[in-house]
Amino acid sequence: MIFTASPNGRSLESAKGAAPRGRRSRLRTNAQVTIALIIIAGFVLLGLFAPLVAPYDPDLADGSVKYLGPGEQGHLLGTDEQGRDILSRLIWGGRTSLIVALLASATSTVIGGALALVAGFSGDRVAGLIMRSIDIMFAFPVIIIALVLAVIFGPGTVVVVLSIVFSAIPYVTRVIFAEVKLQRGREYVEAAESLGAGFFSILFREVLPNVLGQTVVYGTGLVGGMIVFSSSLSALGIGVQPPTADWGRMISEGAKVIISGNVYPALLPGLVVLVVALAFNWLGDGLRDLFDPHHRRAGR
Amino acid sequence: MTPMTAPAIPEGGDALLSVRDLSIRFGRGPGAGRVVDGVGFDVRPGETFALVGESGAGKSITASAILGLLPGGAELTSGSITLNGQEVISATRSSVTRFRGSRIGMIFQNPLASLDPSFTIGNQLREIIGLHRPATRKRHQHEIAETWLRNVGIRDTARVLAAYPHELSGGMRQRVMIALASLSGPALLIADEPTTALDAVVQKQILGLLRRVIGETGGSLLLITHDFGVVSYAADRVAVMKDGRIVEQDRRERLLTAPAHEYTRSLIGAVPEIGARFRLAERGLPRRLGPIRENRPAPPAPAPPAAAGPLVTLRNVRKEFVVGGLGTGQRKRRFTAVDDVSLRIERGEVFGLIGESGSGKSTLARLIGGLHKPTSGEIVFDGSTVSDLPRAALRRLRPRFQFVFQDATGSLNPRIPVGEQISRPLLRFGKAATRAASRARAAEVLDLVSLPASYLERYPHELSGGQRQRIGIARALALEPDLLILDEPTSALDVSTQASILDLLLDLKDELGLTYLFIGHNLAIVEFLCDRIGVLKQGVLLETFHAAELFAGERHPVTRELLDAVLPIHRDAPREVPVGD
Repeated sequence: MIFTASPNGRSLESAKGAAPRGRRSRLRTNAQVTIALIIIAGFVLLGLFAPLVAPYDPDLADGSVKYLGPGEQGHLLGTDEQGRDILSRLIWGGRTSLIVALLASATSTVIGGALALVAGFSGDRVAGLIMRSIDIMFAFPVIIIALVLAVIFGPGTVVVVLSIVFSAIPYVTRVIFAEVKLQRGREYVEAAESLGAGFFSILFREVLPNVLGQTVVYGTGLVGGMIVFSSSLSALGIGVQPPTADWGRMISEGAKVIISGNVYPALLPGLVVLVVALAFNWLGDGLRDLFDPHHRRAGR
Repeated sequence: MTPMTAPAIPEGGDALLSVRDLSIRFGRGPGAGRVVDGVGFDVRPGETFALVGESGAGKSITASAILGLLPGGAELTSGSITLNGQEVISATRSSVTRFRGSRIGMIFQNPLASLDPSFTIGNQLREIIGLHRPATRKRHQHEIAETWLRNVGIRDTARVLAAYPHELSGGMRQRVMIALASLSGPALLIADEPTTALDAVVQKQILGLLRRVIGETGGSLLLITHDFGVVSYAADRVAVMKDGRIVEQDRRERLLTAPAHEYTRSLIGAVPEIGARFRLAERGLPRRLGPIRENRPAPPAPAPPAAAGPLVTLRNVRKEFVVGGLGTGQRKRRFTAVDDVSLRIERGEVFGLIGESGSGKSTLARLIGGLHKPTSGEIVFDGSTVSDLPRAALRRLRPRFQFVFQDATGSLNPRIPVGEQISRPLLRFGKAATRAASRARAAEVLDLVSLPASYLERYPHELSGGQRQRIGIARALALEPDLLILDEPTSALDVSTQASILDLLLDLKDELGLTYLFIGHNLAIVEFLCDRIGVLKQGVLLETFHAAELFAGERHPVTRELLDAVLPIHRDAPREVPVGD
């Protein structure tokens, strides 16, 4: 499954034991976050102003200009198998793909994280109930969920987001649950209790700051997989409806014509997804480091 | 380079291990720190040589250098290490690996971390035997393993051979570790704080065992420790390290009797010893381990207890835990941690609880502090029955009894500045009306524990171990509690830090008229601090007595055992031991 990839980067623990990292690595973290933000902001802006920026109508098929290479006949990145301008489709496709990916990863991270926090701090019964429900969600085939949702809501972005959220929640919950369990054993939790902190105060003011880093890294790590995953729903006809462009479907449509030697229709959106996924991974990694007080005060 | 002249190395003729002018630095460039600076000493055949110092003195890194196991980032800048006249430093990697284990054995502080968790003890022993004596047959390997377990005092060898490390107690694991390190008959055994993670009673057994093992194999022991009691019990010669340098080295008796260096004197003075408080009292001195704190207003006479009667009363308190059960792969069973304990803690007294690890001390403390509910029995705090109170009422009572935990690092939230950690509970309980008022109070309690107010902005990792424990105490004191529950607050600290924390606790008690429940496993510390002492074993409170009655004839055998486990610092004149009371 696509969400199983563990978040890249060091665990919180290893960073804790090491000597405070120096100024150079702090600058590097800042640079990493900045570059990631520039890339993400760039794609968001392109999507927002798609009607102004895109050189062509993204859905306009022109049978006379199929399979143009980059730069040919005024098409900066060439055209696809129906003669549509790839650059315009990439710009418009960002609208769907980024919204789907961001919405889905944010939602599943928040819900999964909250479930994990509550499960990690509840008695055996509540924790068992939550975690066994998670196991059932694991076992549910995503496609079936998506089909059911499509029947209810009609095919479209909503179905894509909901089914991705549904399938990602168990993974997020499992990973964060383990982290929360670890924190629960720490003495500072007991100390907080003896200082009169209530259940929610301990959860959100004491423990949450300690698992936030891992959560953000995991959540941002999901983005790339989600873009690709949404395309498989589109391929089934229950996702975003053609001819609306989205990156995932551009890859899957382009993949069909690779065998005939036309690599650009699949390669270019593939590269875009790669860059965006990388940017989100960097962002998550950098944010985790910036959250970490060991890092924040390293200069002192 | 070295401002002070390196202490002369006593000529010992043919040394087994000879370290000369050893310097190690961490990092590169101008920020590089010298962690070991011109260290030199000899370990002679058959002797036990102790390297003593506080954390950060460079003891362990010196041992790593001898083993050729310097951590990444550390670089050996000068010096020589010879074993039997053979240079170790220049030796190639493969030859180092060969004599590591066969000629040098290493015993680490934490045997659980250094034994492989996924193999049985028998497996790990046989592997090492196979490495050092490749010709040995399987069956013979098994015999050797058995013999060695018996050598280290393990009787039920069959069970231990089949056991995984987590199934053994800490003392057992350390015994196995000693067997592993010494079965190849190494000429030099290095033991890095081998008993720090162990109970006082087990510590003495392990030290005795180490001495016996080197006696049998004819090897030498390089013992790294921070504890002068251990030195006095086990070492022949001693070197004291500070900031990467050896400040003094000498024979044990001479160093303990007449330490030449100021630092050695202060370290030895910082060790709380049995009966020290009474000797100080006889000489009219205050009960403090370090120098007396000055420019403090003379402590006002402690306010007389406002109400009569004990502050805490326990009646037939019992606590059971259910372990195992569905999903754990173990049978569900009950485990009694505290068994029918009744006791009273009077206002203004220091009550000490002592016992081996697993005796239920910490559970009892958590029961009194309202973190656990007793299975049966009742706990009364100043008239209200804590054990029956509903959650909300218990929370309202919480500021009046506060905890200071053993692990200062673990009990502070790593993600929150310490000032906030002190001021949050103040706001929660309405002890401060505004954020500003809570900050002011936090600064006030930091001053009580002798830390500057600027530390409020710091995160726990920016403080030293001792400073963190001071924060833990300050956080508890901010709520103006009546009772402070101290769960081994100094056991993770250096001797001198421990001394300053103990002194601080005594100062604060005088100034604020507090009541303490102090939990410890070292009788010397408990006796130094506490007015009355209770002894726990397997959840049962065996006896309680006044500190002065420690040597009385009617003491329980377990108490005697704990007393026997204290390793006193033997100076040349035999110390007069107060007998009776």
